[in-house]
Amino acid sequence: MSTTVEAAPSTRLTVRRLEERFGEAARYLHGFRGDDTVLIQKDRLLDVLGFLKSEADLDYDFLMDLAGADHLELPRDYPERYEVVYHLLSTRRGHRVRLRVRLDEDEVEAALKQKVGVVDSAAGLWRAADWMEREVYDLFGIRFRNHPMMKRILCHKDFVGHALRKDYPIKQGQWLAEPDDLLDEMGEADANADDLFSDLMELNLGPAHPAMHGTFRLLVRMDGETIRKAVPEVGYLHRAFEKSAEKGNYTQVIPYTDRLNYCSALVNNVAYCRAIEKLMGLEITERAITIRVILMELSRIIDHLVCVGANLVDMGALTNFWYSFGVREEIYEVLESLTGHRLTNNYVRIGGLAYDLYEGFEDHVRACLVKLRAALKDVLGLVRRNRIFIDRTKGVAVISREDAVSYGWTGPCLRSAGMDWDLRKKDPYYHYGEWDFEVPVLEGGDVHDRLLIRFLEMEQSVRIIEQALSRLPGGPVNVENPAAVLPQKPGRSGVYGNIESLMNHFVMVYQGVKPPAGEVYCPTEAPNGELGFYVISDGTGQPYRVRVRPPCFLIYSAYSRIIEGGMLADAVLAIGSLNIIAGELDR
Amino acid sequence: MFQFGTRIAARHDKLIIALVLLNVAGALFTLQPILLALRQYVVPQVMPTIRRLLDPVLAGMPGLKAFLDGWVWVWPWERIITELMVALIVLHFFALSPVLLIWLERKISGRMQSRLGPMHVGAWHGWLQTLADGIKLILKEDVIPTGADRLLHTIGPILVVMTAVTAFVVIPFGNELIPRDFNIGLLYILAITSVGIFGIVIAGWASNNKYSLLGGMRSAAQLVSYEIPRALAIVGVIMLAGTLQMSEIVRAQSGGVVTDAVGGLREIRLALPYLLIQPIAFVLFFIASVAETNRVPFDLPEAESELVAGFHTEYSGMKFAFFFMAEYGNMLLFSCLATALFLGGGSVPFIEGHLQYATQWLFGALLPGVTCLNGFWHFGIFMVKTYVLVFVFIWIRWTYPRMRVDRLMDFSWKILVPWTFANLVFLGLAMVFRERGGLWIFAVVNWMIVIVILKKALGSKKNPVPAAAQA
Repeated sequence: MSTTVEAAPSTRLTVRRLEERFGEAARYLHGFRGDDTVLIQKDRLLDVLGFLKSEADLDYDFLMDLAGADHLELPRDYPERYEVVYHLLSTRRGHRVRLRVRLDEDEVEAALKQKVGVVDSAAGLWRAADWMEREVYDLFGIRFRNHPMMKRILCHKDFVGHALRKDYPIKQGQWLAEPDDLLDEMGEADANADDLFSDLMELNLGPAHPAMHGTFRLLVRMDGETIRKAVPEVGYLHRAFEKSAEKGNYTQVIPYTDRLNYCSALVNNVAYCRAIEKLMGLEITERAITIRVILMELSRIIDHLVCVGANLVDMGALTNFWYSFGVREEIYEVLESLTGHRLTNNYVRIGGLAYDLYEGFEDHVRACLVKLRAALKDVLGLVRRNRIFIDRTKGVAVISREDAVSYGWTGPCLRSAGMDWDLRKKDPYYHYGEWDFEVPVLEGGDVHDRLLIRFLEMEQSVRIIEQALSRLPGGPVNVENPAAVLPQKPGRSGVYGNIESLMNHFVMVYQGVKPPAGEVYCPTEAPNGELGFYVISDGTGQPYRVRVRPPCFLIYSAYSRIIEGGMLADAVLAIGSLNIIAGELDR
Repeated sequence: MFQFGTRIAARHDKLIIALVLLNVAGALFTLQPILLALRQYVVPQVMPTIRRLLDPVLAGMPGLKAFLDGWVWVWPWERIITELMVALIVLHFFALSPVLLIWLERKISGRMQSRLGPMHVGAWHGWLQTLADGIKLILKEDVIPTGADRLLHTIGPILVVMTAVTAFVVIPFGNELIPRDFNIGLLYILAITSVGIFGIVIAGWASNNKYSLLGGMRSAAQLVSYEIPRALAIVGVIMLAGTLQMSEIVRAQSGGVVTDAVGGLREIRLALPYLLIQPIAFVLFFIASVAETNRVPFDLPEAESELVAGFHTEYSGMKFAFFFMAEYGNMLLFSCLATALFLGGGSVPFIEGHLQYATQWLFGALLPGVTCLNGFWHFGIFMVKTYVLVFVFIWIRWTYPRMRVDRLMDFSWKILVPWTFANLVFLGLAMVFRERGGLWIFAVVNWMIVIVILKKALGSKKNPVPAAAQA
């Protein structure tokens, strides 16, 4: 499949311990661009996962990603068609390891027919596995054993087939209209017959409801205004991003990524391009790095502004919305001047950027930052010591640090629960280790801290942008690599000047970049948390599989848990404070 | 033409605002004397004149003459015409002031949120926007959802709007400008405004919608809870004034002149608005009033992010407009009430007596026997005070977040109600020791408490960014 090298130093211990403990059942497969893969035998999977989680010197506390893969069309030297891929992370040691389980096609089909599991569910070890396994079942038809609710999650309940299988035609649409009543997940009301006043009411919030940002549906069973049980339904915005990504070339995926988290489109651009650059082993130029950092931090700011502004609107404090969206508008002016788009900005390219900055960009951004600081002061002045705000948010929709880790929370939501984990500091890319900024960490894990931490992060982003602007290096924004970047058009050596460049341009446009065969997982600290792209390349110009690890998906999987027992109004605040973006969650 | 007007308006908008304000002020301050003149001079003069003119015509028609003599001339025409005028004022007050208030609210909130608000309809700062919206609402289809109780669904908004209108009957807009001066006026207002709650609950129940039901239930709980502190805060006023009659309450707070038997001026009487004596009661009353009008931070019955629109989710067209009008009508009603009960109605604080003395001295000399100019400023001042309070209503709405339902109840029962009771007890004590300056001590202590609370609420002006940011 790819060049096999020695395991990277950080995972060497993991590989050695696994081989000592499990022998052939956990075989080191290969390393590629620093990602190490261990092949696990299906029957020992839970043992291996439990071992990795519990051993003190390994300490893999996060199940970062769990993805399926269909290797029907991949040139391979083993018979199994399906794979389930686990990405684990140890926050205390900073290690990542990839585990994979290979599954035989017949086995998967047989299990699907009999409705039994074929792989053990990891939901008992990490709650994050719950929804991700449902997704694998939904899109690949791989069932998990002992899973609490083995049910489709993104596609409709009556969908026939499994969309991400290679033999499912991309254009095959299905007409599905009947909504799911969700009663199987809701279960029976616990009949307290002797309690005269337990008159429970079921209420549908969404998919079209002002508080369900985007298109979510929440079925709640309420006792008065207290939520006894809540069942969320997602997938209303599911458009099979991962399937679409397999149909073009690598560059053509970039516009799709804009639509993932449309509140901070450029971060998705960068995250995707970083993954492809990692796959190709490209080192981009210093100027491109600095510009990307500026744009990512600007995007982080607008994303946080959306979250804060919208959440305060949910609280009824409308004025804050204009204060925060006014400055967001200013930043959109910058992005519009730069990229030509407003919401779904598309500016980053594999190997650099689409073009250089415009004249006066620095001053424009600096002017924005001044306005941003003023706006933050205004908004904080309105809410910071406001008794109603504090009463509404403190101790509401609390999640403990352990639960947050178990659910795979990342980003501001995790940091507000007392966990100091920010990829920009812990696994620095783009010189984030050198920028002078702090990662704010709060302890509450409630709505209040989730909102507050976003204010604090915006302050830090301003600091990063200011440093980056003052240190913006000159030079090209694209790498000098004809295999990765389109050649320049004018000039003697450009497309208009000689036939080789012309041919190169033609082939690049027609076939796209061709990364070597292999697979990478590349995490980026997006405004909502770890945005990971897991890309499998078969060596052609077409991505074989692009898997997104959306931060929202896992954060939202804990939603029903944190709102149960609270009041209806708290549930509305909770969803706003998590900053769930449907485009990213449903993909 | 339209564009030209817009350009003029845009260029001289300060000037135009000044002119409009001047006009409004003129209208407000002349309304009262015009009405009183109508009542006192025009009607008594006009009716006998008509009768005199008709007499020769009717000489040949004894039957008709007898009928007129027996049935028509004996009617209290003076009173009928005044009543009609006052009724028109009240109705206009209710039907037109929401138009103004909604526009005002949108402009003020726009100002607070660094945007313009309505700008187009009516060429000048969008002043006709609400009228346009109103026409739209009238023309809209009246949708009654399937499964809704058709009768109750219609009764709900009518009840809400009716109670809001009828409550204006006892508002003392000015000197003798009060539709019905009941001797139980205050009790009447408390009773009538409570009936409005039924309208909201009925609307929520009859819509056959869970959100509406929740909104209606919230509304019932909220309004019933806030009735109590509101009524108890008013009791303080009743204790001080010793009456339930609105005009008497206002008179007790405003100064005046004392005349002798032949109309000669004796002395100037001084009085203080009750706000100065019991500010805490005023604040409690005002908070409870905000809650009663379902406005932020107490807008839970219609919390749009939770309940979509609460009890009026299923209403459209004119029925929806009724709820809307009732909300603004209530806002105005409570502002009027607060003005009458605590701010001394239409009197000018401190110098009311002097002003009246000056007016009577001046006009008494110029126009002997004319009394309609006495306190001609009452209606204008009343409106100014009312609209200051209305502005506070609007200000609060665009500043605060919404409370949660359990906190709302806590706030009423655990904070407002104990404070109102304490207020009553201490006011009672103060009144027992009235001769020894008990009320003065009461007022001073009240103001000290208010200042302490304000200081605590406003806090120090240091950087609002919390410590963790600096860490």
